[in-house]
Amino acid sequence: MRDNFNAELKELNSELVEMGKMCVDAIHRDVDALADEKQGDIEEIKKVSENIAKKQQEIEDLCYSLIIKEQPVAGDLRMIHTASNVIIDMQRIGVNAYDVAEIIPYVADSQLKTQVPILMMADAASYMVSKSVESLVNRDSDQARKIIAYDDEVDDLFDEVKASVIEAIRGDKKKDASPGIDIMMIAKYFERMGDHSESIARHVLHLLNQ
Amino acid sequence: MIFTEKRQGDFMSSVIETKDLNLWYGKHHALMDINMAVPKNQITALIGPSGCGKSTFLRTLNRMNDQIEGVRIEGEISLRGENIKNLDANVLRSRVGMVFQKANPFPMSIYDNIAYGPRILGVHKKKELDEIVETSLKQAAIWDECKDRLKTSALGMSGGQQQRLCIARALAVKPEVLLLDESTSALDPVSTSKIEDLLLELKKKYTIIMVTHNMQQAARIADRTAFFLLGELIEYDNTEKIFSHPADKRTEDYITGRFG
Repeated sequence: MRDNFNAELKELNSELVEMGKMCVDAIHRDVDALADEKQGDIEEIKKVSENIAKKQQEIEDLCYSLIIKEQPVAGDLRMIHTASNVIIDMQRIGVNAYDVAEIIPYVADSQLKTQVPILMMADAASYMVSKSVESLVNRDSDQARKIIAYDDEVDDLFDEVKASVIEAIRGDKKKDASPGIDIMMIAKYFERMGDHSESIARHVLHLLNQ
Repeated sequence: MIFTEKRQGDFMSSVIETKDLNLWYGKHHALMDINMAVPKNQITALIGPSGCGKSTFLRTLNRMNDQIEGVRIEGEISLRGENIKNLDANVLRSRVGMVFQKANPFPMSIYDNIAYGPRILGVHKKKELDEIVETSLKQAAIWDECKDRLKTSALGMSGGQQQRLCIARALAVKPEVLLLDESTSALDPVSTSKIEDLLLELKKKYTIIMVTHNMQQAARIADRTAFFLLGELIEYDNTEKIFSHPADKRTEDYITGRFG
């Protein structure tokens, strides 16, 4: 029963997975740009971020259309409401990925980026994004709870980056402190991506009545 | 049956309460152990697939099933704490009015339709009847549409007007509870909307119990919703809860259209 509606809900799931993959792609491109100092990638990341925003609009339109046509209630309503919320989180992750990309040229020549666990933060953020979307699509409350707990690890990494940057600045007072500040900003953006992923996981728990 | 709120709180403000209510049509067990407290000045919607027992339950509340051959009823129904078995059927029906799916005005004038019940109950003074007719039609939000043609036949009214006339007729005998059995299912959206607005106004003075197949209608106007299935009361809770986080999978399957 309600075959057409079921098919459209399946399409909504696929679109969310697609948007999640775009977010992970944006973060991976940040990592590559940080590691390889490829300036050209920054424009690419901007495009990916813009495409994530477009995808958000498409999914939002799909949600409105499902509400108008199907007048969903109960679990269906919660799913569409959840989708409408998580695409906001994912769009912000896309914006954060571009925020990181914009700073990368300022730290390109700095050795500091290899001395702090910034790439570990990027990996953790990427992991949280992909797993939080996975928990939504698979309706997996255990996975969602793991993601919520994992955010503490990202916060710990942020503290590590902060401590390392402070130490580096203190160590050589004649050295330019601005790369350290830029690294901190990048770390903060990755930490925000973790927060958005945690938010997605919390929406999943609400969807599952937990 | 799932009660997610404290039962005590429900029962304290309830107007109608059923305890272990069972009903059989011959061998067919149509209502099974229904325990339900209907709160005062609220709209309670009864939903469920055809044949689930919701209309049977509604009709049981003013003893309309009593006359049907082969019907056996066990358990208790109380109206403000009084067992309805001990009430005279006419008195009960004046306290618990009923409006049916199809508007059924009597083949007489608009005025006489409204005055019919009060006259049976002994009201004969013209001034008093005039007052009752005007008040009832005003309460049913149809006074302005028919005040200039009270002596014309009610059969000349539109379907939506006839249904509001029937509501006015039920109100004329000053009931405490109003039962509605799919009372808007034969009406267009505008007439339906007028009756829904009317019910929201009427609940300030009356307790309303309605059977509906229109999920959106239940979601729009009911304070509480009860889901019946195969003679059982499966879930009974605040409407918002039923339509957003139903506790029973059968409720979810039904309201999302995936039942059957």
